[in-house]
Amino acid sequence: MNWDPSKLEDLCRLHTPALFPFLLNLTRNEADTRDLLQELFVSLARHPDRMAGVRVPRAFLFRLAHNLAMDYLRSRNSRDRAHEAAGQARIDLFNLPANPDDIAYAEALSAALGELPPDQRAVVHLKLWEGMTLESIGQTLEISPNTAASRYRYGLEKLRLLLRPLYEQLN
Amino acid sequence: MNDEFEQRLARHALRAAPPEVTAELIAALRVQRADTRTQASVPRTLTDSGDSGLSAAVWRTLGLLWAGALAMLCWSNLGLESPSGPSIRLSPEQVAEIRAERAALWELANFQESPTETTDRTQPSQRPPEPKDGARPQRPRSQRSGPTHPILGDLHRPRIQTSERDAVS
Repeated sequence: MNWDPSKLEDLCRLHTPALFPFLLNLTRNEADTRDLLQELFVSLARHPDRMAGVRVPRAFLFRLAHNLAMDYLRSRNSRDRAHEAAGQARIDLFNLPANPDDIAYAEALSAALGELPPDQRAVVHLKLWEGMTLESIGQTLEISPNTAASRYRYGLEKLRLLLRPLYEQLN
Repeated sequence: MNDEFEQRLARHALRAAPPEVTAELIAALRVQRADTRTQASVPRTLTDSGDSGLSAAVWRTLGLLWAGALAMLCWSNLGLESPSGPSIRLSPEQVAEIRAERAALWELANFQESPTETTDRTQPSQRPPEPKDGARPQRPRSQRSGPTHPILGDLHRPRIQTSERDAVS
């Protein structure tokens, strides 16, 4: 299956809105997210053959983005702990709703996601906000469906613990 | 509980990428495509082997030929022969002449015989007795300290054992 490099701009327009929050959730840093996005698409422009034979471009782009983010996190952890601490700062991961209670909950959720290990965070993100099945998440992240399921379960459990006080307070 | 909790989480809409992010990416892709076109328009021969029109295979062949010619030239100038070539053969007269010259040289150096040709020509009755019980063989006293050699000085003398030195002193 031949790949037309001119389609890359269309892919970029179509999938950047989903890739951006995914990378932002993993890196917790907006500038680094922009750099990784650019690295991803420029790399594909340099090596268009990588897209040849790809049946689901969206899943493939998520896989590339996840791999880039993991490499980035590994290098950042070993390079600069202070930078990592700065990455834990509050980020605007969600659209701010009109309701003040929802604003507080969105901010708490964003902070709680930052507490999850990146592997669990990626699975929770793809399941909750991309609507992927655990099987397709496994294929995207190159892990087994069982691993994806366990990461999702652990991640969700931790989110529930972290958000329970606020959840009970709001209800 | 989990279903309700999941629904509540999923209800929060993710923030979309800022418009300038997509615009920057599109611009970067166009720059990259322009670079690729520029590289593609460069003649292939220039990109393959620097500023020459020759390919790497041709350069490799030329290098091998040059190295072979250089080796042949060195071989012929130095007069080297291969190990399988003809070897030097001496006639018996030449061998005798060389031996005579060597003996004369040894005599000139005041040696009685060549160290390489040292053989025990004494009669068995004149030889010192064989050591018993693994004892170190003792040389005759006369050989332990002789006259000083005109060329080698005292270097040719055998070393004196500590016990002998003490005995001498």
